[in-house]
Amino acid sequence: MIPVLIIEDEASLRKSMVSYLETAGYRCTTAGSYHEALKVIDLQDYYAVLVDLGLPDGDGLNIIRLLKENQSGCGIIVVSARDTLEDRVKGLETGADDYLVKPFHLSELNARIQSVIRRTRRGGQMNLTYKSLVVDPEGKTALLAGEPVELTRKEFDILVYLLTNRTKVVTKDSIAEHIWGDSNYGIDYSDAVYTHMKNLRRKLEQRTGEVWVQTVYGMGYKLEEET
Amino acid sequence: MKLLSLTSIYLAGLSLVIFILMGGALYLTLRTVSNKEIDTLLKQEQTQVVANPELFMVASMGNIPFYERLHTLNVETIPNPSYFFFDSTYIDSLSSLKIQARYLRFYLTVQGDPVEFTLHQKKLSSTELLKRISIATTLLSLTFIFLLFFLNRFIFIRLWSSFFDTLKAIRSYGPEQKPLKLPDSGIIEFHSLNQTISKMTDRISEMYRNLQDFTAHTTHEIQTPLAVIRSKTELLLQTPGLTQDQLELIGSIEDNSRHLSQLNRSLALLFKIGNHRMPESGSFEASGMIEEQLENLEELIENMEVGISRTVDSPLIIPMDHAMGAIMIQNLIKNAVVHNIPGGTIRITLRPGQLEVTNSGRKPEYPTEHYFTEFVKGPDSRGLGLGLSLIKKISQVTGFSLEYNYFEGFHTFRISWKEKK
Repeated sequence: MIPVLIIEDEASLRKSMVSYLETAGYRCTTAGSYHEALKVIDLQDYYAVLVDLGLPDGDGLNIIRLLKENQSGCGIIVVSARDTLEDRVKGLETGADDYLVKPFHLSELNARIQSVIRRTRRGGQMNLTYKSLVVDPEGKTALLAGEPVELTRKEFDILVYLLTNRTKVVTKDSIAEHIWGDSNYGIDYSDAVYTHMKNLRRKLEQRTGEVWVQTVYGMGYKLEEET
Repeated sequence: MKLLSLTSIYLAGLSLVIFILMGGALYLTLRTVSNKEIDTLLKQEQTQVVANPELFMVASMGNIPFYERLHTLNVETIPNPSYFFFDSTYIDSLSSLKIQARYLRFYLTVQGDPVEFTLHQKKLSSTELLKRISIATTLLSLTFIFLLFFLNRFIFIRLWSSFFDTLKAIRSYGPEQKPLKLPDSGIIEFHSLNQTISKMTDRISEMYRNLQDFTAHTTHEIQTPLAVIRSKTELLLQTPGLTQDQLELIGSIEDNSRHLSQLNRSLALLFKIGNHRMPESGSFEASGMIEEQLENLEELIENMEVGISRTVDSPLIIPMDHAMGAIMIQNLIKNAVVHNIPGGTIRITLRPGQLEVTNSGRKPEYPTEHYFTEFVKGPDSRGLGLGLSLIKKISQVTGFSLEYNYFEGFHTFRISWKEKK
C-alpha cells in the first residue's frame, strides 16, 4: 500500500478521493484544514501529497514549502480550483511537481499520482505489468511476452492510463482529457478515443487472442480483472 | 462639428440677420427724419408765401430765392384740407434727369380767386440712401463679425477650459481605474458637471469591483462542487452490475457537469480578457503554434476527412501574448474543423501582418455578425458557442483586426495586425 496524504477542505470531495484511491492500492491519510495538515505532515514518509491551495485557515503554498524542507522524496500535487497560468507557475515554483485543476476525474488524479511517484522515486520497480504485458511508462516501451508491441504515442498513453486504473471503469471523457488536455472546450473527442482504443485492442488481441479491454456501455472502458 | 466653429457660425449668421434688419430700420428712420426736415423747410417757405401771396403770383419776381420751385395754378374751389405733402418726381431741365422731390401743395384766396400753390424741394433719392446705408452696414457688420470671431475664440477658450479638462479626464477613464478626481471649477455649471461625473465614476468603479469579485468568486466556487459531482459519478460508475439505464443516467450527469465546468471556465476567460486581466503584450512564434493546434485536432480532421492546405511563413512572430495567441489560434482552427463539411477543406495562410483561415462549410443561417455573439451555435454543434466570442474579445483588447466573410461555400476569418518595425 502506497502512503499518500490528502489535504482538502471540502469533506465530500476528500471522501471521494479516499474511496477511489484506497481501492487503487493507496493508504490515505487526510487533513481538512491547514492546521490539521501541520499535525500529520511529519507522521510518515508519504509517497505523494495532494494539496488544496484554497484552505480556509492558511496558505497551501506554505505546506508545500514545509514538505520540501522535511520530505524531499515525496511527490507534491496541487489540487486547485484556480486555473490561471500565474497560479500554476506559482504552485510549481514553490515546489509542487504537478498541478491539477478542479473539477478532475479521479482516474486522472490516480494517473498523476503514479506519474509523480515514478518521477520522484527512481530505482523502484516502476514497470506496470498485466498478465503477459510489461509496460515501462518512462521508457515508453511495451513488451508482450517479452516481444515489443508497436504502439503509437496516444495508444501507449491510453494503455498506461488503463493499466494505472486497472480495477476501475475509465470514462471516455477522462481518456480524452488525459490525452488532449482539458482546454479543448466544445470538441467531441469520443470518436477519436474510440478509434485509438479500437487500434490498441486490435494490436493486443492479435497477439494474445484474448479480449482484455471491456467496453462499458456508452461510458468507457475497463481492463478485464486479472485472475 | 466643433462647438467653437458652430458657435462662430451661429454668431456670424445671427449678426448678419441683425445687421440687415438694423439697416432696414436705419433706412426708414433716416427717410422719415430727412422728410421731416424738408417739410419744415417747405413750411417756412409756405409762411413766406402766405404773408404775401400776390407777390408770388407775379411771374417776373426773379429775386425770390425759391421762385423757381414754386408753381401756381388757378383753381375753382379750395379743397379740404387746404394743404398737404406728397412725394413725386420731376425732370430736371438742365440735366434732364429724373429728380425725386418732396412737394407741399396749399391753397390761398388771392384777390378773391382760389389759387393752388405747389412748392417742391429736391431730396436725397431712396436708392442713393439705400446704397449708402448698405455700404455702411456691410462694412460695420464685416468688422463686427471679424472681431466677434476672435472674441468668441478668446472667451471660449477661457471659459470652457475646465470643461475640456474634464473631457480629457473622462476620455482616458476606464472602469478598472480609480474613480476620477476632477478639479474644482469656478463656473457653477462646470463645477456641478464635475461633481456629477465624479459621483458617477465612483459608482461605476464600485459596480465594476463588485462584478469582478462576484465573477471571480462564482467561477472559483463553482469548480469545487463540480469536482464533487464528477468524483461521485465516477465512484458510482465503479459499482458492479449497473444496468444500461443506470449507465445512461450516469453518462448524462457526467456530460452535463463537464459542459458546466467548461462553460464556467470559458466565461471566466472571456471575462478576464474583456477586462484586461490577461497579459496583452508579448510575442509568440505562430507557425509552430498552428502545427501544435492541428496536431491536437488530428483525429477530428481525419474523421471528417478534411484536407488541410497551408501557406505559412515560418518562423513568424505575432506580437501578442503567448497564452492569448494560443486561445485565438486554437479557436480559429477548431471553428474551421467543427463547422466544416465531411470531405471539406481548410486553408491556412500565414504571412507578416495577417493570418487567414478559410474553411468549406454550409451557408450561414444567421446574419453573420451573430456568430461573434456569445452562445450562438450551429444547429448540430456540441460546442459552447463561445469560441468566436473569445476570438473577437482577444482582437478587441489587443487591437488586432478581425474580419469574416462568406463566399460561395467558404467561410474566411482574417486576423490582421501591425508589424513591428
